[in-house]
Amino acid sequence: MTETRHRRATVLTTGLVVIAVALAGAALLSLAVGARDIQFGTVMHALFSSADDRDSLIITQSRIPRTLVGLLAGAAFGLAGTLIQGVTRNPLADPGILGVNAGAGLFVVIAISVFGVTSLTGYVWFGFAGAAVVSVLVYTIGSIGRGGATPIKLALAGAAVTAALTSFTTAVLLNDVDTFDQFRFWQVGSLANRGSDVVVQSLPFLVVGVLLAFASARALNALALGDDVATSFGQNVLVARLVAGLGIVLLCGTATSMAGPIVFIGLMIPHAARAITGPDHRWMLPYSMLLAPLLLLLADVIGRVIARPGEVQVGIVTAVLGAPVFVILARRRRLAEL
Amino acid sequence: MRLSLGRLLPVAILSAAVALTGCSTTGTEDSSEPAASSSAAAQFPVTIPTAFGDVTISKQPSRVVALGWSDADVALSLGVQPVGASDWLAFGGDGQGPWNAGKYTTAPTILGTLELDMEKVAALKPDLILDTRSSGEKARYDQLSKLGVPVIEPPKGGEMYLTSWEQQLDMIGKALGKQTEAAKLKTDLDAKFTAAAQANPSFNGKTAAAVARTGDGWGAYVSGDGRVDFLQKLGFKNAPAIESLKKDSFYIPLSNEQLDLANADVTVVFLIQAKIDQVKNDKIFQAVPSVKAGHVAYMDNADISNAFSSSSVAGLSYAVDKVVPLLASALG
Amino acid sequence: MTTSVVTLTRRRENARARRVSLVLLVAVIAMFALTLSYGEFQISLPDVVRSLLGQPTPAGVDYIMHSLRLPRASVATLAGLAFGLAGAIFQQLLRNPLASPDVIGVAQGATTAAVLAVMVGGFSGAVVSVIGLAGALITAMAIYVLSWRNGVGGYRLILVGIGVGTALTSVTSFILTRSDVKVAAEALIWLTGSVNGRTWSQIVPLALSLLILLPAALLLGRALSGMQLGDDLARAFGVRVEACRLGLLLTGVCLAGMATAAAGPIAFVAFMSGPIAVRLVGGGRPVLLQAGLVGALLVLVADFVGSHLLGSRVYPVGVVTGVIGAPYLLWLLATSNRTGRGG
Repeated sequence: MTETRHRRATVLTTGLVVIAVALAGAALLSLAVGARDIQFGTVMHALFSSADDRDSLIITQSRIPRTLVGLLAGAAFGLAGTLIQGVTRNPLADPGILGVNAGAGLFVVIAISVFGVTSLTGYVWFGFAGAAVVSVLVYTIGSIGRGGATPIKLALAGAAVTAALTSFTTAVLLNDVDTFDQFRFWQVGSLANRGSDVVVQSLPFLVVGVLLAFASARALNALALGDDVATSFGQNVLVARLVAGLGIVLLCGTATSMAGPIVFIGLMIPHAARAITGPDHRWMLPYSMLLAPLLLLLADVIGRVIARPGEVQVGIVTAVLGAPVFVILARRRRLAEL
Repeated sequence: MRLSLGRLLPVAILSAAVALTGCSTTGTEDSSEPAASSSAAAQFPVTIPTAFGDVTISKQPSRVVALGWSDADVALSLGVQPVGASDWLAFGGDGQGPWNAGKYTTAPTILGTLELDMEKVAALKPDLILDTRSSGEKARYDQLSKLGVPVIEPPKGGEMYLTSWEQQLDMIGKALGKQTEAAKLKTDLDAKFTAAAQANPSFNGKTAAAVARTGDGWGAYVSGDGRVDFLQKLGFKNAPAIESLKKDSFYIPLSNEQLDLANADVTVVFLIQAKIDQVKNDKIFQAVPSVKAGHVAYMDNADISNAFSSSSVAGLSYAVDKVVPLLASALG
Repeated sequence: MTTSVVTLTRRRENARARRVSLVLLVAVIAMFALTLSYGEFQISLPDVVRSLLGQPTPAGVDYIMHSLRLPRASVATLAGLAFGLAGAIFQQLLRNPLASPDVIGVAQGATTAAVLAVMVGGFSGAVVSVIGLAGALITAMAIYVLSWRNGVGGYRLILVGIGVGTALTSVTSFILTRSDVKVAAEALIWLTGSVNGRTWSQIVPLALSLLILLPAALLLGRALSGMQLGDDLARAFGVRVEACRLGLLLTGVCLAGMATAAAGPIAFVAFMSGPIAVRLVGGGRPVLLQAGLVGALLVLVADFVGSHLLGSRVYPVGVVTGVIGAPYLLWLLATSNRTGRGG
């Protein structure tokens, strides 16, 4: 018994290392490939010296920040997705279901429309505030009434709040075509034109979110068995949901603010991770954390080269690439009957 | 294409107008409809071809509802005050830019742009609906035509807001019985372009790159877009590197890695949902040779941007006045 | 003859369900009448009736009634009915309150097809509606085929639907970013759902299809109670699971597709009507007719609010449905004295 468990642990660890190496490769690819062909030597040179010719500027001002955003936002979305599916016990749940996206979107629209903020670094914090406020609202509403925050009530409350907020947002957009002109790009999800200051400012929130996520691993395993069984195992269901919920808000809120709502990753990656690791959250979480940015960076690179001299935003490529993979996963015999 | 149609009709109208002025009384002042009736009466009934067939207007309209993009603008330039207008550029107030300031003595009812409250339109009891620059969708036309009054939709090929300023001026001039005034406005604007080009011989033959910083990133304009045509009328050539990217759209999105395409004798930067600080702090853009050397003109004044967007005869005239000095100083 | 408790309970629940249906029907008729009568141009109710019957009326009434308000009220009612029904079918068939056609890809199929038709093909009007319906059907077929593996398990269908739906949404968003902002804003209105300016050529097909689909849905819906117990148990009770499921799905897709073709994908009506109806009727049983009526009421009220009560601007109905329906659903969630099972 211990033999099998040890062997399984070894296999999974090896797998994790392989994926980590692939991720490093993807990051390198993201630095080396783009809408403009730049010699690999120039890339290396730009990384390690402060050259300021045009090509080096592209590396330092554009590709490095976007690779970093891809890594961080990807990891955040992947973790948040695993958490939300564990908390709501619903395989349809994506991190947006708590209303995080709709909240971020509405506050971003308000920032652009009412306060005239047009730079990303400006409305990043509005987005984050919106995500936080709405998630708390949804969680509170879902907790009222008998049974507390059961998965169904949370999911319904989140979807309902999303409906209301999306309507508000659309109302503002229809009134203000200029804001719509900016919002329609943010909404697709992109890693382009993000500065390094966005990365630096988001880091503390992401770190706390990651810690909370890993702290919830055991609790989520227990929750998967049902509230009653979990309680009988000594798991405080309420606290577990709260901790995981906080992690979701921090991770998803920050990631959405950085890159826009690319929640398909949060929906899809947990299923991919589970297909490899099985339902143990202690393995699912690290796998999600590494698989998600891998997909995101690869999608971003593809988006950079297929539409020269323009680019296709990463949110679109992710969905178009991810959908077939997701469908294949969904067809597997052992399905995610959480 | 639209250029040939646009240029032929005004010529015909101009000759007719010259012939008519021979036998009409003194030209009309700006805003009084009844005084125009002597020469105007001879202009009705008039038939205007649109994408939905020929529209015949039998007599001088007195209650005009201007729903198309800049239709109210052009009507005001011709001395007619619509009773209802759409405010596409979100100016607020009477829905007009600074080039038409104060031309309304009676403020119009501001109507919707894409979503129309037909009850409001009906309540204004219009006898003419101008919709010359709009999406040209049949559903919209059906909705408007149920009112039973003449509806001037875009001409063939002008669907999706592609009606040129010449076409718009011509159609509205005919519909309002102001063909003389319309012809005069056209020749005035053409003359203005020519005069500006002649006063600035340094423009002639130089390349210009018209780029835009949007909420998403960067993009460049090619010929066929109003902004590039504007620059070309002043004597510039569109930067060949950008022009070669032209396919079926007037706007080419650019990755920020391809910004050296913005290099030209002068780079003109349009700000769409972006602030000038973003562009000035963008190190990659500032490293483009023409920008580094200072041969860059930022169109960050909201009135200038709106003037370009309006594509109306008065808006473009305003734009020429404001933009030419900026271009001259950018060329250095 | 003694009547068992079970029969008594069932009779009471049936009576409650019937009462709810009646109240909803009355509410729908009242809203319909209000929509016809109220506006900047007030039409008294007697005049409304006279105009409907073709009798002489004061000037202007006929234009406003027949060209503007009657089409508007009709499409709002019919589309709301169709969306509510479709949503309830999907949610109860797939046993997941999140599984409404606007989530699992069918509505996105209609939307993407329509956006492509308008922006890339340059079509408009009834042609777009037809293309939208075709998009919905093709997408539904694709989802069904892709999730077929010795039958179609509920969860698999939902997951595949979500995957396909998300991909389609990205395509739509991509098109929105690639076009001129005015064109994109126009598409945004369509995407939100609007009953403004609809013509009879768009409404009549919807009405006709409802004549067929509504009874079909109610008949097939009787099997839903059995299927709630799970596939194996249902088969044991003689329910022909696969055939019923296919029939219901087809009905639901056609309902959603036809409604989308007429009014655009009116946001959230399909999603919210079912849960609201369930909580009104109680008992955790399938509630198709009530969901349809809730949907119709929702759209009528939302359109009324959007046209008259929000200042001088006219808002498309899809903007308001979310704002109205969501708080109501949340209130129901919070005050429900059930443990929230069954959605």
